[in-house]
Amino acid sequence: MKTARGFIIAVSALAMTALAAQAATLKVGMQDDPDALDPALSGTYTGRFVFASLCDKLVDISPDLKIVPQLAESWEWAPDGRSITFSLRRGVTFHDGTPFDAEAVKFNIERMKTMPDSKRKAELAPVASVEVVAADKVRLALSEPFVPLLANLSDRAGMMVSPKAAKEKGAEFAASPVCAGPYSFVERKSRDLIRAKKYPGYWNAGRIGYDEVVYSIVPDSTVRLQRVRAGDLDLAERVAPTDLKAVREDANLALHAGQGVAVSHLMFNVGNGEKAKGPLGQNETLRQAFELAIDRNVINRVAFNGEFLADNQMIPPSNPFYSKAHPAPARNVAKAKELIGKAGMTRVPVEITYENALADGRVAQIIQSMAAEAGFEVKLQPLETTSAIERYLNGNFEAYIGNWSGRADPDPTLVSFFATTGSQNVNKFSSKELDALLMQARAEADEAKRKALYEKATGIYLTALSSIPLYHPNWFFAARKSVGGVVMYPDGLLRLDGLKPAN
Amino acid sequence: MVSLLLRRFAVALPTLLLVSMLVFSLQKLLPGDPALALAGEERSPEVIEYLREHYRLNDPVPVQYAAWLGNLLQGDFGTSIRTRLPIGTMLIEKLPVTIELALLSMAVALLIGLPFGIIAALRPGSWLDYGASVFSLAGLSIPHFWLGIMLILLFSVHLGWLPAGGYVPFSENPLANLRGMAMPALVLGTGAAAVIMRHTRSAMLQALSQDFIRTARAKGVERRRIVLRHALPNALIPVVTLGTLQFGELLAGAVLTEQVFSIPGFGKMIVDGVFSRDYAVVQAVVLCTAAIFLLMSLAADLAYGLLNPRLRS
Repeated sequence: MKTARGFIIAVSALAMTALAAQAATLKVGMQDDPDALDPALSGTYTGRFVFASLCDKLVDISPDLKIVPQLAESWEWAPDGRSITFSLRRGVTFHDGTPFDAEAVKFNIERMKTMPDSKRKAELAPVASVEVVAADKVRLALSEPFVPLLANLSDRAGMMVSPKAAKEKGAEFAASPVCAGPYSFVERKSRDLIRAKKYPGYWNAGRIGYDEVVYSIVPDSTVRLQRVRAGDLDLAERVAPTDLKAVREDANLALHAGQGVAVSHLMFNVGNGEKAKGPLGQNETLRQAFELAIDRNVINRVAFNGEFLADNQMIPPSNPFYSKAHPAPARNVAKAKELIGKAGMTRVPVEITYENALADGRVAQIIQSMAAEAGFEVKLQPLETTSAIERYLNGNFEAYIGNWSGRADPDPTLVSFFATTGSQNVNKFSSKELDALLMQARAEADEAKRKALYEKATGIYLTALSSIPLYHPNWFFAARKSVGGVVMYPDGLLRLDGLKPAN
Repeated sequence: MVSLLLRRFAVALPTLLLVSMLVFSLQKLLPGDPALALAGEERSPEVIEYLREHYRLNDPVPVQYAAWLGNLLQGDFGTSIRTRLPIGTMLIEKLPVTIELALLSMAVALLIGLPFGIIAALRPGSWLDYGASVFSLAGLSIPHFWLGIMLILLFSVHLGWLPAGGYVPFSENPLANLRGMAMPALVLGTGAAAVIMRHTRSAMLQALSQDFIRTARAKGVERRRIVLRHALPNALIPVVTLGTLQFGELLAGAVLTEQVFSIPGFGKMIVDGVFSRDYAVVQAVVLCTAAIFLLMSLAADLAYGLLNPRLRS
């Protein structure tokens, strides 16, 4: 026994020295294969997850959702809020050696605004023109004051790609992207892996601890975790709430948890075609009764082991603009029945449509059984994702479980869902008062005044309840203890900066 | 032999064409178009319209099909609309993985299925026969997904002998490649082994009960020779049919097993393709799989000839 143990120790010591001599590789397990690796085209979480190593942005967010410098060192709003001037970091180069300067910023913003299939058009819509002031100074002129612009630039709209590479590669750019992040693209094998190596010319190279990062695609959450436990991955993103116990009990693993900005909500069709004509679509009081009939904490406990955050707002409590004046109402079946009676009904039928994923299915069933106690006859309609999305966009649903990834700033979420012309306002909710408040808030540079406007807006959408927010998912990464410096961000993306092998 | 091959190929081409047409039109019946699946969370109407135009989704289905076929004849499988990667390259990456996994699984299946099927037939009602029945029942009923996770727990997490998943190309590191393939091949192989074992057993029982076997026994032919030279080749014909079909199935991709072990093969490619309405990807994979199936049935025909001299003429 003793000799066996001695032998194992000797072998592992040898293995460790061999490892130390090798280049340090960070092996990350991701749930899905990203879509196109071009910041202008990307529309997936895993795409953004990979961009965190490849592509730096003009600005970044801090863990507490403040805007912090990245490729831009500082910025200044014009007094009328109609333009913003960025001072750019000097000496930065793209992975192909092209210098990063004001011209490059102009090229990028214009590329994202004009590429026909660009997904960044809405985020950059208020940018009217881009002016090169000096090699390291660039001014964005806006068609109207738009405070959330900085938050938009902290995501894909602010990612800078090499103008030279973008011109040369054209439509093939996504197959081998060239950016200015800490790692440069090496190879991608679809549905298998994406490999990137440390870029020696990175402006902040001193903070980069791994020589190489490999993102492996491991779709099943349990398997992803097993591979971290077995040591063939260093870190797995999005560990399922049901697997967290195993992570906490494993001495070799560390659980990294953080609050996110995403929200899951139950949307009611209040004004889009035939399906809006049901009792819940027509009657605000019935929707309030529905909210009182369900217990968000039960949804969280039963569907997510209590690991997510039950909440009644679209904006999570971690956001500085969260409204503390509107706490979640406690479940009250008697009151719900009373409201149903007031509306002159006893049984209220409603059909909930949702994407046929495990989590939404469980949530729908829990809602169904709780709402039944108050008198709601809930029918469930699970659909395969793309079919469900088609119905969602066409307003072909009575109620729909929506999963919104959220944004750093409250504006995109609230405007998309509640402004009359909002891109996600597929249930056709409309309130002139709310429209005016939201437009005022996006132009308000003073944070306290802006917060007051969002307080009012929250009051309005929580009374109309065209959507009942249910919970905010939290981010869970499982990492081996050998990975040092993991910091959780509300966008759920793994920053490589500061990450290093721990002893 | 040559004329058989030629005849087979003459039939194969129209079959492939028909398969591709069928799949192409069936895909169009799916609700939800790729422009929606592609447009991302914001789904701006302009972008959706552009994508529909750009990928010719507004054209009538026959026009779309003709365009696809035209490109294919020039050797161009098209580009995945989801990842913007060339599909030809994707196929070249996945095909060897899928073929290797299918071959190894088939090897496992034959190594377990044939001998145990023969032994079970030689001693019907013995504990060996019952043991083989229990194994085949288990092989057929244990879900691959569950078996995969259990194997990972045992061999990767607890014992640390094998990697829990991932794929290393054989050309890069043969040992790592085989270590990575061991568990998935075992999972897929046991399922196929169970079927092969059941069929081998019943075919052998039937063959052993025939007159020529009794005659051979009466002539005093050695038992070993009776089994291997007289009964087995007769029993193998249905088994070969079944084996080639199963091999074809393995080649079409084993979605769940690929998912558990993160093997980048055909299975996941086609599932993702269907879900994101990436028509060109689905077309390409189906076409490849159909071609492989046709090749397999040709191989089965050739094997019959070897096993049964009467079919050689």
